[in-house]
Formats: sequence, C-alpha cells, structure tokens
Amino acid sequence: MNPEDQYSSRIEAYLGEVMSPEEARSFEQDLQRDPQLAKAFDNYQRVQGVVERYLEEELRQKMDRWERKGHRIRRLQPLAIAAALVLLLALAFWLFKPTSPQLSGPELAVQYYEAPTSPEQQLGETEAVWQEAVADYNAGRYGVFIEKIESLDSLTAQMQYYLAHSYFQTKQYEAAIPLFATLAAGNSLFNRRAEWYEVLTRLATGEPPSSVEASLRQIAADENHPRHRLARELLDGL
Amino acid sequence: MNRGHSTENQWIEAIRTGGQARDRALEQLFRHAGYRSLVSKVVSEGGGSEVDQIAVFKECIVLLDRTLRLKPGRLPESFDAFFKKHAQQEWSERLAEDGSRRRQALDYVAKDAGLRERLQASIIKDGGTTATAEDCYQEGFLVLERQLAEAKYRGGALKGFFYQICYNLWRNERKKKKMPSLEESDPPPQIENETPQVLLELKEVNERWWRAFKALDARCRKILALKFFRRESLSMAEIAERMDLKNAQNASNALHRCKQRLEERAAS
Repeated sequence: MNPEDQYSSRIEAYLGEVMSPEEARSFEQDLQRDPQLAKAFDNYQRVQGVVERYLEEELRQKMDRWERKGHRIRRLQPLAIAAALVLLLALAFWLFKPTSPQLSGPELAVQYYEAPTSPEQQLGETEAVWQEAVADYNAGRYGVFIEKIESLDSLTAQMQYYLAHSYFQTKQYEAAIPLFATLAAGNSLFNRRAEWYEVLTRLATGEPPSSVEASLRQIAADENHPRHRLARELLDGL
Repeated sequence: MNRGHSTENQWIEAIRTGGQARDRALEQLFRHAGYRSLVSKVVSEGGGSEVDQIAVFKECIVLLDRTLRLKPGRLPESFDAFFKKHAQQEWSERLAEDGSRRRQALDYVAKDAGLRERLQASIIKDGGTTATAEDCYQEGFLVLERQLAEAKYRGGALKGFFYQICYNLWRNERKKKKMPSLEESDPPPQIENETPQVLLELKEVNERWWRAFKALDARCRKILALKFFRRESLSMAEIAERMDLKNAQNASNALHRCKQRLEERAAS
C-alpha cells in the first residue's frame, strides 16, 4: 500500500479539525520527524489546492454562462413584449373588426333564391288546368298551384320545375328536393337550373354547408353553368 | 431581507451534496436579486462600476461555495451578512491591488462637488479658512489613495471615508498650530511573512501542479474533485456510485492511480 494512503486518514482528520488538541500536537510532531508523512501532507494539500482551483474556475465559467443566459433573456424581453403586443392588436382587430353579419345556410338560401318568371303555356290535354295553375302561380297562389298540379296524372319537366318552386315558396323543402334532384339528373332544359335550386333548397332545410359544398364547387367550376358566378359567391359566403 | 433559515439550510445542503444540486443552488444564489443588490450597493458606494459590482458578486459566490464545502456546520452568520462582509473585503482588496481601480474610485469622489462644499463649510465653521479647507481637500486625495492601496478602507461609503480623512487632516493641522511639536505618527511597518522570492517560488510550484492537473484526463479530474470536493470526503462507495464504478475498491484504486499520475506530472 502506498505510504501516503496510510497517512491519509490522519491527514484528513487533522485538516478536518476533528482531532483532539493532543492528537493534533502529536501529528505536528510526527510531521517534523517523519519525512514521508511530511511529503504526504504536502502532496495532500497541493492536490486539494488544485482541485479547489478547478472547482472555482468551473464555477466562474458557469456564472459567465448564467450571466450570458440572463442577458439573452433580457435582450429578448423587449422583442417578446413587442411580439405579444402585435399579437394582441391582431387579435383585438380580428375580434372587433366591423364585419357583415355571417348568414346561416337557410338565410343564404333565401338570399340567393330567385323565383323563376312566368311558366310557358303548355299545349295538350292538360291545357285548361295548366292555364289556371299558371294564373295562380303568377298571382303568388302557390298552394293552389300545387293542388292543381298534384291532381294531374303525369307531369312535364316544366310542371315539375314550377311545382318544386312552389314547394320552395311554401317552405315544403322536403318535397322540393327530390323534384329538383330528378330534374337535375335528367336531360330537360331545366336540369342545370334544378342543380342550383336543389343546393339552395338543401341549405334552406338547414343541412350543413359541407353537404352541398361539392355540388356548389362543381357548379362554380363550370363556366357554362348559368349560375356559376352565384355559386362562387355562395361558396365565399359559406 | 433575511431569507428564512430553512432556505439557507437547503442551499447549504445542496452545495455540500455537489453535482446538479450544487449547480442549481449556486445558480439560484447567482440570480438572487437581494444578495446581488446588497453587493452592488457595497461596491457602488465604494466607487466601483457596474462591471466591478458583478465581478465582486461572483467572487462572493465562489467564496460562499468554498466556505460551505470546506467548513463543516452552519455559517457563523446569515447569508446577507456573509455577502455584505465579503463584498467589502473583496472590493477593498481589489482597490489595493489595482491602481486603475483606485483612480476610478478617486474620480467617483472628486466628481461630487457638493462634498467639497460641505467639507469647506465644516472647516470654515470650525475656524479654518477657505485655503486651508482646499488644502485638506487636495491632500485628502493623496491620503485616500495611500489608504486604498494599503487596504485600509474596509467598505462603507467611500465619500464618507474621504470626508473623515479630510476632516482628520484639518484637526491635525489645527493641533499643529496649537502644538507645533506634535507630529503625525505613521503606523508601524507591517512585517511580511514571506519574502518576494519565497512567494514567487510558491507561485511557480502552484502553477506546476495546476498544469499537471489540467493535463489529466477528465475522468481523473472528476474522481479527484469528488474526493477533495469537501472537507468530510465522500466515502469510496459514494465515489464509486457517482463514477459508475463497480465498488468501493475499484474507486479507491482509480483514485490512487489518478493521484499518483498527478504527483508524477507535477514533479517532472
């Protein structure tokens, strides 16, 4: 075993001031007499000295880092405050900006709905009934128009189209939807207009805008569609 | 501003535990606005700049860390008292060591025109003339410079210290006029314990050991730091745990090898 190790417990006790006065005196006398103990004691103190210097330098470096960190935070503080203010202003602007009131689906449907003009005269067996019904339609007697048309055995596309509108006008949306849908799927003159009105009728029932969005996009994308501009507007409104 | 004993005890415990607990406690102390402003006040009243205030505060932290690690038991004073006392000592030593700092401190005093006027008014009121007051004021700076260089300033308001110097000069002047034989006696010269040659040699030996220590690998530096980190050394089992070593015997062997390596390098 290294002789210094044999001494180290005594050295530690002496330096740690845990020896009694007699033990300390005896240790000091041994230091004078024993050169190996003196060397061990000297080395112990030297190692302790360099370790202490190492710990202190390490602490100074840490403090420099903490200080720089503090400076960085202080430097960033005004920026953070400015950024927070900008965000706050943006939020306030967004919350309180004067906006046109957001319309619901049914409100938009009513806003965009435009009743078609007078139906054309229909020739054939049903001419008399149709003539009367058209008169009712033009007079805004949609309920009477519906009764007369529903009494007929078969309906032309034009009759279905105006019947669907009459349902719409009397808020019988659930009855209007299948009629517009059938017309939209067909090849009559009314199919493209029926597409548009089917969308409006669905919105009028309170269906979520997402359910008609695809149909609207299709209409909006079709430059030849008679309602494509309106469809774009409505999409924006939704 | 006194922190509770419990908080101070927690810091003491953490510093003595070492590792991250010590780092956290020291960082908290470093960021402690109360202790920092206490030290800043001492240094600024002593004519120090903001840079000096921070430097002295850092030294106080280093000293507190060292004291807590190497001295068992509680501090004999509160942390407030510790910071104040050591800031005064540290600033006094810095002024004694560095001529440019002393000039900065003298400048700080000289810039106070009100101080000059108050001194003149006191001396004139006490029977002196404007010229005598001016002489005392001018000579006061020479005495102040000397006293700072001799570390006789022990903290407190430097302007008050200077005022006292000037007023003492005036009183001596007055006594001389009454009793011409009375002479200002210089303090007895201090006997240096070590000659400059011995001090130089000591410094060289210390530097050699320091270079040897820095040349060791990081693991050796760490194990030695653990062993000598505080007065009541960690046990070998604790060192083994912190060094990820198998057992106390392995730690003891590793420590012995590192110590031997250090001694050999320092001796070469």
